[in-house]
Amino acid sequence: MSRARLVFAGALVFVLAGCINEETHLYEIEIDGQVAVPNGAPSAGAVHLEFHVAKTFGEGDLEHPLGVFERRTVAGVGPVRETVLYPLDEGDGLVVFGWLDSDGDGVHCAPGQIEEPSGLVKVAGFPAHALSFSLTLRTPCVGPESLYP
Amino acid sequence: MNMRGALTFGACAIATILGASEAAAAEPRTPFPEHAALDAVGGSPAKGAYVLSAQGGWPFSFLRAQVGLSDRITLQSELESAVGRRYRPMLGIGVRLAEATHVRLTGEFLAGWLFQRSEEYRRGPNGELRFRLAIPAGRFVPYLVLGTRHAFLPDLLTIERASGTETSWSVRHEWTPWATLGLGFAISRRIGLDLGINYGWVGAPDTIALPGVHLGLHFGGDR
Repeated sequence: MSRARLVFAGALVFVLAGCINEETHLYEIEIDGQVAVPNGAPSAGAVHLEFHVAKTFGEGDLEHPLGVFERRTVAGVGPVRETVLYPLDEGDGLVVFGWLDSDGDGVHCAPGQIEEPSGLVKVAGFPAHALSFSLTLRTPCVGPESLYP
Repeated sequence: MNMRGALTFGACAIATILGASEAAAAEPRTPFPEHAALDAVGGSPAKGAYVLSAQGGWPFSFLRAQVGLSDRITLQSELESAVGRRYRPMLGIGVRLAEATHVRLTGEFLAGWLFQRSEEYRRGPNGELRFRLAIPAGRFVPYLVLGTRHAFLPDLLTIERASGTETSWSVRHEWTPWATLGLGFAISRRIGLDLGINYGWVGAPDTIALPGVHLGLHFGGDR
């Protein structure tokens, strides 16, 4: 490579490196799951799913578990197949939280309404482009922070 | 000091004061129609003239050099800093749009690069169009600057898929309307000062504007 080309390449790298503001790395995951309720429990209603990083990057006190990056709603309990984009720069590990919208109001356990079950699972095998999970909604009116070990 | 010496000293002092007063009375209201303070705050020094400016303040400080290429066109270079975290090196031209005894109107276009190092990095090409209106009156030069600044901030998105990695670029736009109201003062033809209030609204309209102040020292010559 001639000196002129080397200088040009160096200048190009310098300019490109000097103009990136936000660099976002996303990791595509196709995730197959099974959402269920305990035997005999009511199962009618849509299921709201939240996909979290298991541990959010940070230093010292800024490091904390969980950080939602995608929300989906599926028709009901049963098999689930979703494609999500995982933010590699924001954390590590994958957690799925879900709750059953038994009364159809879109709110998890609104005051004066019926109790709606929820559940959480840490997905094994991350990182991989194809993952699977099994989630049972058995705990009424509890958010992901209380369910995370 | 004896009586003779005292009288001689008194006579010299009176003569000096009277001489200065007569010189001041004979001096026209505008002793030097074009001076560094006017060129600095009104922009567009004449052909062959130059002016160097250093304006320090909060949150914005400036270093600026202007040199007249012709009686209407000026080459200028500028470095702006905001609290040492945000820098804008710029290069551009100024055009003297109107000139009269007590008015100078200049249009300026500058282009350069924005570097911001803080909680949020901002880097990218940057341009500014601004107008300077100066109203010289003797040694004083009240002035107004109105400008619009535009920075383009590229972002890089990388998606890792099972089939391969995709990379795409997007660009955000940062708009900064700008206003400065100030007063220049000519200490001499070559040296001037100015005091101004800046109103720069970085990232308008999604942010709040922080007003600021600056004090400037200007040095010019070759006119």
